Amino acid sequence: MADTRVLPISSVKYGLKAETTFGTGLDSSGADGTAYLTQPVVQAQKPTFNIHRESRLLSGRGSVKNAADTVVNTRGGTVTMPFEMLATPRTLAQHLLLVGQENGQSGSIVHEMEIDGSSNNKSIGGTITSGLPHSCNLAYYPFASEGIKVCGVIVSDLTISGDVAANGGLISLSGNYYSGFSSPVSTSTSTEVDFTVANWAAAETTYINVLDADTRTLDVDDASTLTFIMKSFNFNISNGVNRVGFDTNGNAEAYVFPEYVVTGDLTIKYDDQFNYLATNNVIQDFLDGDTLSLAIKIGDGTVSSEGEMNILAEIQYTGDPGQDISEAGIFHTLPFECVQNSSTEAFKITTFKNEAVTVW
Amino acid sequence: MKIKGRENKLHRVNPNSVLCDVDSFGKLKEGQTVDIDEEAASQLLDMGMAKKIKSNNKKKESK
Repeated sequence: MADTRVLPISSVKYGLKAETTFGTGLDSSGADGTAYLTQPVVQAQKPTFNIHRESRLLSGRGSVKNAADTVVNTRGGTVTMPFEMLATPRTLAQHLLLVGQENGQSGSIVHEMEIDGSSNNKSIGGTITSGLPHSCNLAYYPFASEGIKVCGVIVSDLTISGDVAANGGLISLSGNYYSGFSSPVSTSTSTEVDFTVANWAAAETTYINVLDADTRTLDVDDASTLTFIMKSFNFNISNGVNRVGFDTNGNAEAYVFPEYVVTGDLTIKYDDQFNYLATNNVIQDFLDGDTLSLAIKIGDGTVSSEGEMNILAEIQYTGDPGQDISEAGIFHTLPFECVQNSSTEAFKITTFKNEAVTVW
Repeated sequence: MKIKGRENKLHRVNPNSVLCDVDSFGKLKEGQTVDIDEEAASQLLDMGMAKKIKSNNKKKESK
């Protein structure tokens, strides 16, 4: 008789825990008792092993491939996994660190991540000190003793989205995890893992709401720091990660980040501040190639409590400002990329979570 | 421990996910001061949602 067990997707969860040694399992002795931080996703996606499989019909086989004509090589591959969740204070700060490989902490505790061409790690794989650079053990838990542990996990690309008409205005995160540890060994990436889920930390339930954005300003044409009425924004941060080298198990020796790229789009209302007038012309900004300062501050701008976030960006429009037409009137859709502007960071984001990176 | 709610902050907190009781939580949302147990107060202080109120109990100076 066939087995009747059902695995609802909502039974599956995954967690992250920062590594102390790049690509090494935090607990590789029998059951994994690591206190993973549960991530607040609705549906946990399965890690995908991107390994090499060679399949060819050898000479002398006739017209049918023989079972011995295939080769599988787990060395030199990658493991990837998509994610999508509502941003919470810790997940936002940690995922920003995982993609930007930079973190500044101040007060109690404001996390700052900036993309500026000098602060961000150009490679990782050496010593990890106080959580920096940042890589994680990822625990994928579908059922007891059926888990998958992926080591050396970072984020290759992260999208931060806010839309007043989606998710009740709550900011969301999406992107992909990346690992160069595709070859399962007992001390690193492994399958059939018995996770002690009772030890896992619960997912956070404080969110970040775009409808709390007290400050929304943008330069336009001949004017600076004008307040706009926002419909939505997207920021996409990618680091172009590549794995390099191989250890005795064929796993990565390091990751390199050749270019940090931040692109996005902003949808704001056509009004007296942002229009096609001589002094407030968003089209002229595109035609002139202007670099504009953008600020979105969720909360009162102080970033002193959970759920607050400041984004500062130096942007150039990458396309003609389009129109978003609805019953609410005409809105501009402004596609942009972030650029380092003299000493001003291309992109800087500040969030609050009273936890040091070392406890992640 | 006595804490005072920081106005325009606590609306982001899910009241079901904190240790503070509903009555006190409502008062904190209005910016009032409440006296709650230390663990619940510490949680809200860590989240940046409240300020600690220092006790004004001063010993009388001896004449």
